[in-house]
This record gives sequence, structure tokens and C-alpha cells, in this order.
Amino acid sequence: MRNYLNSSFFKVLIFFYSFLISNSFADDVRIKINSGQVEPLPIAIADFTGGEGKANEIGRQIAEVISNNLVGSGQFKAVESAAFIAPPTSPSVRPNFTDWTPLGIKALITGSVKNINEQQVEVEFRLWDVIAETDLIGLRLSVNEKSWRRVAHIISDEIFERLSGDSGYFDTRIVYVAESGAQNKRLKRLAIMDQDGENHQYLTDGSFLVLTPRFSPTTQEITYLAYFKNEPRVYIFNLETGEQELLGSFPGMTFAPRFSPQGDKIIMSLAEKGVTDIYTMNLNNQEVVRLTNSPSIDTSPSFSPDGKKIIFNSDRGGSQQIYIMDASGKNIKRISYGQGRYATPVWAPKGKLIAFTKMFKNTFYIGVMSPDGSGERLLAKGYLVEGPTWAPNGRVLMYFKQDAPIDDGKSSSVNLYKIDITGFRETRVITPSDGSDPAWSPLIPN
Amino acid sequence: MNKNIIALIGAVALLSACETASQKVVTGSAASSSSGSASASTSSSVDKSKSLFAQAKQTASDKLIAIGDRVLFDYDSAKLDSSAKIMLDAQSRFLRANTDMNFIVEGHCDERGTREYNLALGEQRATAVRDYLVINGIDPDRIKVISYGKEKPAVVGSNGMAWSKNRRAVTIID
Amino acid sequence: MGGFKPKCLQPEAEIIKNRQKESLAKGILNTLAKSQKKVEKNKKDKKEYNNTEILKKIKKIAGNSNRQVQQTEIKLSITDINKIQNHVKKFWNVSYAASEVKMVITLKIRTSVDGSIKSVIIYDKNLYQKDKFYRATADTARRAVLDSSPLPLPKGKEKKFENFLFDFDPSFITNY
Repeated sequence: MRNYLNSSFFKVLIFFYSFLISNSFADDVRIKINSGQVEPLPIAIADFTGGEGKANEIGRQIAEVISNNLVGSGQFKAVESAAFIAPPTSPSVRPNFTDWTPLGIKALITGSVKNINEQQVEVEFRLWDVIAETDLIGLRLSVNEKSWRRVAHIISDEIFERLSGDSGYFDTRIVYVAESGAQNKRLKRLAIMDQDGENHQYLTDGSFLVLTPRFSPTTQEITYLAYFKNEPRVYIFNLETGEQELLGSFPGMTFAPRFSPQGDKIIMSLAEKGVTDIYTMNLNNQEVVRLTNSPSIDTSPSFSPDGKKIIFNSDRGGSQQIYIMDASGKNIKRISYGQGRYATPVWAPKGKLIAFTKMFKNTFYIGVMSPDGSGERLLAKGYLVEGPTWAPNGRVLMYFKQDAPIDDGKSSSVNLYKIDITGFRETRVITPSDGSDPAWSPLIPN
Repeated sequence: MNKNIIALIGAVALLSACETASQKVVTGSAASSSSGSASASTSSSVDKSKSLFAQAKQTASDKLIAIGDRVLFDYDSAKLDSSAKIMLDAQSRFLRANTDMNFIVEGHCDERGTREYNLALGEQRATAVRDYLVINGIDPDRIKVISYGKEKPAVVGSNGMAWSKNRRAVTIID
Repeated sequence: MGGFKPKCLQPEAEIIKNRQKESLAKGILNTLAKSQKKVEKNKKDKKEYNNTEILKKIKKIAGNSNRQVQQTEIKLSITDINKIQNHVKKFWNVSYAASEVKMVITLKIRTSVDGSIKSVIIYDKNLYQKDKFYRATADTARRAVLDSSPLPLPKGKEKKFENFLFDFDPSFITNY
């Protein structure tokens, strides 16, 4: 009986299918392809040609920066330039595609750098689809030669977007806490650098402790915690003027600040008389709103990109877990139900995931999950990993990692790392000294 | 096109603004309170030029350390156990005897928690000590609390012994 | 001179259109030349496969006799289709971002009798211009088809593939 049913079912299926094939589209055969691979795309980045001298050197460096960016995203695999047969002499020259296909290359980037005058250079690039033998995008920029790095990042973003569809994150910066000295007498300074660690600059001199900087989504400002005059309070640092401003006047310690998605509010914790709750402060009219009111520790708040929800961690249920609530503070619900303690939730810029720190059996983890708590994936672990921050396209996380200190009292190093959430490629972000508390900027406006 | 030129110049100007920022920065008083270990403050040589007050403060500090300047806490807890309370009873007597001095209670944590949560936990620990001292008759206006979270460990190490020494609230003279 | 020149050297749309025509003409020569060798090799394997495996499979699936299979020979069997599907999907390397494409991407294909690809045209030109996710993903589908040349066309039914359609469906990309 069962056999009979099965076989007649298949007959029906075959009939139906061939009907579709023969009749659905003007007698054309129609074949569905509904699986494939999500693997790094093999690309070749030819040195940008530059004639003589400095332009040539800049061209080589631009190619190198683009390559590091694209490979570091986890979405691309760069074929060694030593294997290149004859890179085109100029981006306007059509490459000989058959030189590239045997290397397994699918996309080719060519470019040039020309001196316009003493300061200005003209950078041009083309992205070629080696298989379809067509160019996909091109761009020409005239800039001060000192800005060549930024140009390389802008080009990287263009290529990333053209080949994946998603926006890139290369023309961005990182603000973080640069650390030096013994672990129990740590000197901590606010510092800023390009996303790839270049153009490093200190913003504070270390005379007061600084922690947890975060970028404004809309302005050239950073909010952070400073122990200025030994009073831990939230400040706003203006990158354009170099001035810092105390945020509000609170009876206790304010900390764990973050901007709202529109940049008009700071959400943070206030600790007073043993109670830590979550507040917002409106930056336009200084209005303060208390969002939670419990005897527990409610901290590390983060807005959803649409501003309607807030995630935070709280020990109100006994141990530190992640909770979600409305922007009004209503409808508080626990969302983390895995093993261990959950902390530092941060909503991804596109809203589909939250990143968090997890502590379980003496190991720390960086993970992601859906805002409803489902689909937990752990990406990185260590003696201490903490404080994930999202690249603006929500594909890469940066965090800091500390090795176990050696028990003779010597400090262990603390470093910044990034990992892509597709391929889990963890790479260290090189900083001049130790670093912690990274925060990723939005794409730099241009 | 013009708009775009301005944009890039703006970006470059911004970078140089950052450069000047590092020089313009407000220099705060270096964290003066010795949140660190007891040995650090006892071994520091008393400068001859120090004022009488500073000398008195140093003597009082030494005395406070001798009595016991700190209480320890369990993992992820701000509860005072009985030995902590005995210690704070002794501290209360000292504070009552030195009415001309104000105090700061510093709350600290081990490094096995996240930074922001530990800031809150350190504040709870410091507040627990402050509240106990107030119950023992100390004027609340004389006591300030500050939390350092996991920023200033007393002991560096990746073992239970080190962590337990770092989960502490330390009373110092303001 | 000076300043940012927005995006392309020419309007992007035009570049793509013009180049596509030109490059496809060129591309055919290349892929044809490449494919000859491969075809030869594949043919052998295919014969054996045709004679034994396919018949067995069809019998199993349809639960029917040899005779019936022969009757439907002018139609394409599931096996015919599967073979092409399994071949092409190996070449489809797609970005996580294709999960943003909520529809199938239709490509118009022309092949020679030996299965080599003569041309690939992205059907929905409007979406290709407008939607950056669609555009990037359609490019990955086009590369997959060109890379998969020659296609393992069922013997005796090559004519049905002179003009046909591929529907690339990226909905398998989840959890990104």
C-alpha cells in the first residue's frame, strides 16, 4: 500500500515537472539553480601603475591597502601578485582576460596614479569581471597625495559593494583605549586610528583614566567614561575641537554610555547608593529619563537601529543576562537562555543580530544571536574577550582579548582583534601599545 | 563636484584637528588615591617638604592599614560577611577617633567580569561598606564612594587567590 | 580637473551594456576553445552514465519499465535536469549578501550542441540597474554559467538547450 502511494506520487511529480518545463515559458526549458557556495571570491589586485617615483610608490601602497581590506573582510581571496603574467599598464586598457582565468581569478582590479601637481594626485581604478570579460565599475579621484590611504579605503568600499551588493566598512575609524604600564597601574589613553590601524593618534594624555569610548552615529563626537578629577562620569569628546564636555550633573557615577541611532540622546547607567539603572539624556534639551528602576545592576544598554528597542544586561534574575525592553523602558523580557552569564549586548547596524560577551566555565566568548535570543553562535573565545563593536555593515566585529596574566604579577597583553561573522577569520589589529574597548565609527561622510 | 572637494579637505582637516587635540587635552590631577596595594603606600618615602597635614594623613593612613583598610567579597557579590563586619567595626572606631578626616571607600572587582558590569558591582561593594559605617555612626557626609571596577587590581594573577584579593572595598583617607 | 568625480568614468549603465555585448562575443571564443578538450573527456563518462545509472535511477523513481522511459524520451527527465543543476551549482559562488535578494534571478542562455555556452543574458535589466544586491548576485550567477561551460546536455536532446533559462535562487543562503 505504501509502495503504491509512493510510486504514484512520483509519477505525478514527473508529469507536473515536465509540464512546467515544456509549457511555462514560451516553450523554453527552465532550470532552477537553488544551491551554491558562499566562499571567498578569488580576486587579483594589480599594483596601480604610476609612471615614475612617488606616484609609483603610492600606487603600490594603494593596491596593498585594498588587498588587505578585501581579504580581511573574509569575502575575498587575493591571488599572489607574483603569479600575474602581464598586468595592464593602465586602468583604461582592457586586460587580456585569458591571462587571468587560469589563475582561478574571478575579478581583477587595475588602477593608476598620476601626479597632477606637487600635492595633488589623480587616482583611477577599474574593477573587471574576468569571467564575463566586462568592467563592473570605475572611479577617478583627485586628492592630496597625503590622503592616498583614504582613497584606497574608498576604492575598497566601492569594490566590496559592487561585488557583494552590501556596503563596505573600510573608510571608517576606530576609537579605543590605548594601554601601557603594569596592570595594577595601568595608563589608559583615548586613541583613534583608521579601521586598519593606520593614522594612529592619541586624544588624551593619560593623566586620567578613560574607558568605553563610543562614536556618535551622526557627528564627529565620542562619548566615553573619564575619571577626570577622580570622578567617574560620562563625557562627550569633540574630535573637531578636541574639547571634552561633562554630560549632565548626576549625584553618582554615570557610565556605559552609547549614542541613540539618531545621535540625539545618550543612553547610559547611573550608579547611586548601590543601585545601577538605565537613563537617557537628551542632548538638545538636557532632559533625563529614567528607564529602569530595580535594585539590581542594569547596564551596558544599546538601542536597536530603529530606536524602538533597547537591549542591556541585568542581574535582576540572579545572574547577569541579556534583556530587551521598549525604548520607554516598558516590557522588559529576558532573551539570553544559554549556559553561563551574558553581557555587553550590542545591536548590529542592520538590526538582524546582536553581539555579546558570554562567560561560561572560566572562559569568555564573543558571540552573536537574534534579538529574540535564538540562533546563538560563538565566534571567538579566550581567557578574556570582551566588548564587541560592529563594523557599519554588520559583517565584522572588533573586540579586545587579554591573555591570562602570569602569576608572578607580570601583566599580560591586551589587544584588539576583529573577526568576520561569515568565515570566523580572527585577525589582530596592530596598535602601538596594548589596546582595549574598541568602537567602530560609522562610514566617514564625504 | 565642488562639494566633494570640500568633503575631502574637511576630512584631512579633521585629522589634523585630532593631532592638536592631543596637545590641547585637559590635564587632570593624576589619580591620587592609592587604590593599589597596602605595601605601595607604606613603602612610599615621606617627602621632607610635605606639610604637617600631609604627614598626619600619612600617619593616619598607616594606622588605618594596620587596623585593616579592606574587606573582601565573594564572586559576583557585594554582601559583607561576618569577618568583613568585624573589620568594619574596627574601622568605625578609627573613623570616629579621627573626626577631622574624610574618607573614600573604593570598590573593586576581579577581572572575571565585563567592564561595565564590574563598575556597577564595585559601586555596590563600596556602598555596602559605606552603609555599614553609617550604621555604625559615621557621618555619611564624611564618606565618598568610588568604583574602579576591574581597573585597579591589588594583585595580578590568573588564579582564584589573586581574584579573591581583588574583590575588595578599600577605605582610604581623602 | 580635481575633486571627486562621482563613480564611473561613463554612466555606469552604459558601460555595462556596451561592454557586455562586446565581451560576450569575445568570451564565446575563449570558452569554446577551452571547452573542446573537456567535452571529449566528458563524453566517455556520460555514455556509461547514460546507459546504466540514469536508467536505473529513472526506473527507481518512476517505478516503471524501460518502455515508458523511452516514450518520454523527447521530454526532459528529472535526471537530465538534475545533472545540469548539479553541474552548475558547483560553480555558483555567491556572497552572503545575496540573502537580500528575495527573488530568483533569470538568465537567458544559448548553448551549442556540445553544451558550450554561447551567451548569457541577465533577463531583468531594470533590476540589474536599480538594485545593488540583485546586480552583484546576478553577476555571480553569470560567472557560474560561464564557468560551467560546457554543460552536460542530455544526449539527443541538445536542441532543447539552444535557448533556455536558468533561474538562480539565492534563498538557500540563510543565517547570515
